[in-house]
Amino acid sequence: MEDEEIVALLLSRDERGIDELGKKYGGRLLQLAERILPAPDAAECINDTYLAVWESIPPRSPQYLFAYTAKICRNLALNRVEWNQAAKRNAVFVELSEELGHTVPDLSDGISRQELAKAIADFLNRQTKEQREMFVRRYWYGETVKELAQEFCCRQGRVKSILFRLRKGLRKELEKEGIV
Amino acid sequence: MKLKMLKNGNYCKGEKQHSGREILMAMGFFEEDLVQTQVNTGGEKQHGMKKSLVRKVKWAVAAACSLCLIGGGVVFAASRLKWHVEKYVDTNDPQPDYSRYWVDFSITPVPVDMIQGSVREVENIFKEEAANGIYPPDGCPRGFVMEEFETEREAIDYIGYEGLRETMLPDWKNWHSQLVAYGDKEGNLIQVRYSNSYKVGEKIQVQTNVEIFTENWSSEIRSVKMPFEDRASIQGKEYITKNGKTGLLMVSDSDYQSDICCQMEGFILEDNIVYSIWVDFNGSLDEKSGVAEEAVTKVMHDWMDQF
Repeated sequence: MEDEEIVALLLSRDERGIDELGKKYGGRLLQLAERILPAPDAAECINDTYLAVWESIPPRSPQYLFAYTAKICRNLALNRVEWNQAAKRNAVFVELSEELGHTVPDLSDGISRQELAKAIADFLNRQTKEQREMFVRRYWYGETVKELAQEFCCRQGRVKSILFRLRKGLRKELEKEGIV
Repeated sequence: MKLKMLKNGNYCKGEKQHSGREILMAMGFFEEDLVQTQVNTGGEKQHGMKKSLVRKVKWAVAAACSLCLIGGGVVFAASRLKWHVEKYVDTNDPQPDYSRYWVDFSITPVPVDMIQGSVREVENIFKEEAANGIYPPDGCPRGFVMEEFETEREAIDYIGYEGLRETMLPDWKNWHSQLVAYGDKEGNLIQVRYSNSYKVGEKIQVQTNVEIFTENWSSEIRSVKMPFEDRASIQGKEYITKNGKTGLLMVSDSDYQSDICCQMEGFILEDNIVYSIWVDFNGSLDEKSGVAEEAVTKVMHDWMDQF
């Protein structure tokens, strides 16, 4: 079913919209949640995501249904992460936070997450499509370097190089903006 | 420990992982169009193959088109292998201060009928697409990927080109294989490429590639490589194998790779087939000019000495 049809079902308060959403994107959403949370928590997170989608459409009518749902899923999953309990964090996500933290070790006081997000998005929008996509897939979707190398048909070393260069560029950008 | 309070009330401890966490959390505020970028990528497997390479090839073509020769030129020619370093100019890249190298292969494209394995079935898929009016974007070949080979021998049999050899060394552990077949707009087979990734001990990763270019290949036969920040760091070295064949080693001293302290790429030609190898040493920087370089060079030489 096309995204527009699923959104139309949801807007008309038809529960088949959630069924169709699950059929079309359930697997990808679970994959995303499992990159952040242990399996049982990830499954619960997916149910919470569907509920949040049901409650938010209407009034929302998203243009990009998957991105809209994935964003809810990712935020719910991150909010469930118990950062101080190593056993309850997914190793991939710990790796991601360490990679980013190593590059940008010290954020300035009083910076909101919205401001930080805007600065990062502005930076990414000035990169090439390949670079932007690689960064988003690594740090937003949590894909591994190996997965990216396979998808982008290149060596892992090249993926690492591009990501390293992007993180280095991001640091410069954040320094320029006074965020670091 | 230093504690910082963010505007939204969350505390940041000033540790690396905590600032990383803040960035990950902040990205939750990205607009959906930025996140949507990757939704349509990644193909589903079809009959053991997945169609996913169009984009990769498109980049290669686009990159080649945007290359501009600024003070480059032939630096070294090892028999039928020539390499160049050129200034990389990409109008889409905001950081244009990179150089990249390419290697030209002096080989004769082979008649398609010399490829006699099951890989030829891909042509039926390509031609069916063409007959149904399905065309790749301008400048892009058709592409199919197969990743189900347990051994190099299986892939070689699947290709069915006489003279194709296995190149895995005894102490290598294979962890990923990929065969890609490319077709032109009309559906003719233009190239077959087979790659294998290996681990060698704890710190070395190897990728070997085999490329066969068919008579339908219509552009230069070359390999264009990623940009480097410092063109002076790229060196080509000739290597004469134990059997007297000439190989080319490309040594790139790139400082922007976080955990790769030594890397080299090697090329050797045999029976109009291009064999190449990439070796990374993942370790600390203090190993760079000693242990790492020695270990990587040994892998390169051992691999080339099979020819």
